[in-house]
Amino acid sequence: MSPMRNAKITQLLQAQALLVSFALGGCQPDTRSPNSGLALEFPSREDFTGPADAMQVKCGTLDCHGQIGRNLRLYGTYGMRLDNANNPIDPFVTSDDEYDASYWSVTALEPEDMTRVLKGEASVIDLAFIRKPRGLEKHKGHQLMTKGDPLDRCLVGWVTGTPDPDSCMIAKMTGRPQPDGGT
Amino acid sequence: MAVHEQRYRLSLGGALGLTIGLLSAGSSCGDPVRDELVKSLGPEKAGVPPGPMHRPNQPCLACHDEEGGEEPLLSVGGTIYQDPISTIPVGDVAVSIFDSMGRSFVATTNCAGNFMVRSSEFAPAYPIWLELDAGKIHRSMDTASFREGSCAGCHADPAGGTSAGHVYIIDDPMDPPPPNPCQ
Repeated sequence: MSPMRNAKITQLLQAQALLVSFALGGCQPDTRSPNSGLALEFPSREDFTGPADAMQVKCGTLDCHGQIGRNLRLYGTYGMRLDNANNPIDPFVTSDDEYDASYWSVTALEPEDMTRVLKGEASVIDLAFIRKPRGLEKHKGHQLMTKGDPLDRCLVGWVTGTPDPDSCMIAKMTGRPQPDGGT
Repeated sequence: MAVHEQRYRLSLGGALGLTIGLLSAGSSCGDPVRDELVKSLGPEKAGVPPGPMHRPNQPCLACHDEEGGEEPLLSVGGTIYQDPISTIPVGDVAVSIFDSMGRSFVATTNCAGNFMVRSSEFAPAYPIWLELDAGKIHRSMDTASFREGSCAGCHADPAGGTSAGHVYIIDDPMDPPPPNPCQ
């Protein structure tokens, strides 16, 4: 075998080894802690009632996030109940336990990003929680809010630590929109 | 020449493998969730052939939408009962559907309490709001439906933590019943 052919074979083997090492490198699990060095902080539970009530009507119905099959589960009087002895609208009040369950569901979605948003180190659109209802990311429930509308102000206010209960109050109104723009 | 033949054989083998792979993938493209739902509905009730009167308070669109493929294709369908306790179907109820584009459509219940909207007649843009009129009684859904065209998708019996129970006209069974031409 000629020296030149030997050199070519060696080069080929080296290239293959490099490719294999790249490929194997890509298969290794990422064992880094997702929040290493980041102390998690969440938007206030105390201020969550308004956003929860607004999401109940706009997001938490039984055909959407009022289902146990969702990563984001919302509980309350217009949708899924925490206690199976209850049913939607009976009792016609969302319990503290249901607010708690929805709160933990929302905050557990993207805890690190939510922390960064609350600290002002990231934009609200880094959160799927905002991107999806704004229609910036594929959302089976379609676009539910536009930047600056009451639901948007309600949710953005809460995740940034500047709650906007008035907007939440408007956003939680039920009923179909009327031609004059009211509800 | 021998090398070319070998490459040709490999290429055929690859094509065969690809074809088998694609066929296998194609055969497993069903929706197991839908299949399970349809299976859970059971057989037709004795004496009620498939048609407008069959399967009251079952999720119509489990079969009658584009994916289910059963004719007629429906966009919305459901069953209306007299009150929350009884399962007395109410006929001649006007079911008004309002969509997010400001369009509306009215369907009427038959003597099984069933109403249906053919996709060819009205394909609403979600969310949709539903209202019922039976004589002088008027009811509106508290929340919109954001994707579910089958009333029974959220209103199956029994009522519980994840279902609102069947759709009804009057809250209190002791109240005067709605006009019902089928009784």
